[in-house]
Amino acid sequence: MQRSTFLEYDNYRYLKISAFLAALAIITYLFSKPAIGHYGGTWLGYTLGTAGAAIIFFLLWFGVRKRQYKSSAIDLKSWLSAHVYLGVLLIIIVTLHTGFELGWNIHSLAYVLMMIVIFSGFYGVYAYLRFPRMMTEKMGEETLESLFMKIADLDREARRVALQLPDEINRIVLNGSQQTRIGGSFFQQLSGRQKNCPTSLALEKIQSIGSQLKDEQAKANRELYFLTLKKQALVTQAREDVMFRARLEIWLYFHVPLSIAMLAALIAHVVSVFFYW
Amino acid sequence: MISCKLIVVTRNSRGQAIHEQREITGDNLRIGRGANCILHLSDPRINLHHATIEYADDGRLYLESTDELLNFNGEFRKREALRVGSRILIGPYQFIIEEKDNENDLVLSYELVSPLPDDTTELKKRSRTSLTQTGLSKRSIALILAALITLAFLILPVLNAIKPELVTVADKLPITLDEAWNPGPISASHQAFAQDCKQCHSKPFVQVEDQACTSCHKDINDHVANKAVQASLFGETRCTSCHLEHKESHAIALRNPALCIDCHSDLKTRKSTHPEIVLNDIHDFSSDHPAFKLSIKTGPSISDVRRIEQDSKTELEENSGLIFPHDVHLSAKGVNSPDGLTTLQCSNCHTPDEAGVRFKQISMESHCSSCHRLEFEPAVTTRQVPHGEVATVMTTLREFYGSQSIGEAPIDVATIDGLLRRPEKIEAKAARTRADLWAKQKANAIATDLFEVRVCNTCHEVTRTENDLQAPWKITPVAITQHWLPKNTFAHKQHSNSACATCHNTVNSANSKDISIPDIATCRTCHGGAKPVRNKVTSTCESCHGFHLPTHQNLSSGKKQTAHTGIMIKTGGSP
Repeated sequence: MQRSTFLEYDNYRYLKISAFLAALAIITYLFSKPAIGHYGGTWLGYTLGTAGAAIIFFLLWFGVRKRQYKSSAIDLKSWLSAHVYLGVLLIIIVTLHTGFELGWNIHSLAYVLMMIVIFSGFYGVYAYLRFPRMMTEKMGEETLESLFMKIADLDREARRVALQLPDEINRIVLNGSQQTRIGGSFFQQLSGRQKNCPTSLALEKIQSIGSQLKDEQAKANRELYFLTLKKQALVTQAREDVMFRARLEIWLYFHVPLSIAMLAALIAHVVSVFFYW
Repeated sequence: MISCKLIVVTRNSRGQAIHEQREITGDNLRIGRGANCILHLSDPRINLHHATIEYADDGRLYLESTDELLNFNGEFRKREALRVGSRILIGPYQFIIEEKDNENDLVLSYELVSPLPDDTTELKKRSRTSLTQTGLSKRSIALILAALITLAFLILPVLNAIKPELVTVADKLPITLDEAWNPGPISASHQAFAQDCKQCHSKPFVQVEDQACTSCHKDINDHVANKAVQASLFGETRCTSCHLEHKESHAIALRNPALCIDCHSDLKTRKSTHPEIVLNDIHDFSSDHPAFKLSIKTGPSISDVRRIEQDSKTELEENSGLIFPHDVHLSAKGVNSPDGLTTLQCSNCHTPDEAGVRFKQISMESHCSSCHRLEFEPAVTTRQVPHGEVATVMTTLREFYGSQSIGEAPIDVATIDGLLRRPEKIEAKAARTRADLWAKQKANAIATDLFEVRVCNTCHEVTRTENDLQAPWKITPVAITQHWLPKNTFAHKQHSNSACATCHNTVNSANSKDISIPDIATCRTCHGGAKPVRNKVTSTCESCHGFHLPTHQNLSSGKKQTAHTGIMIKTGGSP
């Protein structure tokens, strides 16, 4: 039987809780008709705002909780499940709190930041559910470490074979072994590519120059070609693995910093509202 | 032929040098990784044929690179004579020309000084396989963003509120610090000053106080004039409970019937604690709004004004003191005038005021005198008595006939001493006395004719009085009702698409006591309640009523009844 994910945790316990609270909020919103229209300052507005702030603090606490080593895996799964569903609930609670009024001010900044945090979280859920499985499928028995070692072995072997081949091939093979890299900058990791990859360049050169070689050299060149081809496959595999890791990680660069920025905006929002009550 | 002793230096794990010797000979010594090189260097950084050692014409041995420059003792040369002690770098190898021995032309040692690093380690070193390795830190982004937001949207605005002199940059910012906190558009009438929050939000963490509003809106009245009743009914209600700023740029007076209906739908429970409440419960204009109450003058005094419901059993009549049959004036055939029959319209007399709410006061001079002329002497049509006090009329008449009795241009033949004579033929004192007596008698006779028979009594109620023998008539003061429904904000301009007769049935009114103010049923033909209904104008309480109408001020104080009731009083004088 497939292990249940955090979304299905405890028979969708937190989904049910969130759905109930969302329905409660929406129904109350629809049935209450404040004389002055819906906004954050009606009794419902204050209630939704307080509830929203409480949920935000609970969701932020997950960041702390996650880093506590004493917490068990099951414990964390429960927290994550609550984190995700209450995050969705937050969209409804806080949007109703605004009364659908937005402007160029700190109040809307807090709202927009919160929405970005939540939607980056949606990507996170998608990534966590999808990418690890794809990574396992692509990597099989391999690990990034084992790929590195295999690539290095192929580099050594290729250099050895290239010693007897023309200088141009030898140089490009050496270059391929010394300049090829896995991952790299932020965008290289995310793209899973290296622009002008030295290994791919070597492969092209080996093919083009090698066609003019004869006898022993032609044979060696053929060997070199297959070695480099094999290396290129491993490099691509390693880069894809890094790409998935990066994609699993990238959303946190929005989710985490923006959640802290949102906390600052939320505090400014609450203070400003009551400062100029 | 070159014979060369070659010393290959390698190092063991402790770094100690191990020398291995062999001898090579040849016409020249080719160095490279190629199979045809006698000095074979198996390293990818070495070319197939990297360099050659051979004798030159000067009898010395030279090392010549086939391609790139070589490092001879730190200097880069293509070709250089070999001297004992020379150090030459060829790729990763260091060659040293050793002391020559007797058997060889050349003794050469070499060592791989820059071995290829470990491939796995190097590959790992080059590769960054997680985003954290790129140096981008979530924590620093978080701290920077949080710090910027806290500074821009919390610290600076608070500082600006407490000590504005410290925040000198505030004016140069694209949006001001106060604007950054502003939760919504400020109403148009307040925008001029409301960019500065403190204008209304005078105390931090305290809700906007009524004083912030009343400092400008000084004359605004409470809902109930009695302060104690107002306080007990509206104690907790602040201006901002109903007047909500930061919502839209239009007016901030809310037009939500719920604000009124909250109380007015349940006045009966409040009556136990507030017996002064006389109104009945109301929920909506379309359902249980009571009949309109008209402000009606009920007695001779101008303060005798009562508000009477239109559906009461009492017959409603206006006691304006004026005699004015609308039917005669609005007759389709026309009305007699100096120019013959003239057809009048409502607008001939009722001209809208500047606000388009009600109508300008009607005056004798502007609206009546062109037809209703006050001529008194049939022989002199250019003279009229003034429209005003009885005494003034009498003075005019006496002066006129007095002057006639002594004037040179007689207009009449008088009987003096039993003879018909011209009145100017007066020479003796006795004669003048007689002339004066004549003038008085003539004036009195004409006045009686004017007041009681021909002119004044056409429009006015005239009674004889014995109090003043010189002016023995009394004209009932005219009190025309200017505003029958002073508690509503009805504006004629908003109803200008309807003909007057749509609401006012005056064409057939023969008596000026008739009141032609439409009743609630007439209004309801067009106006619905708060809930939209097809073919009806949705109408809330605020459509017709104001919460603070100044007329309400006098509702229970009784001080200025006329202001409250809206009756316009015109006494005899002009206009």
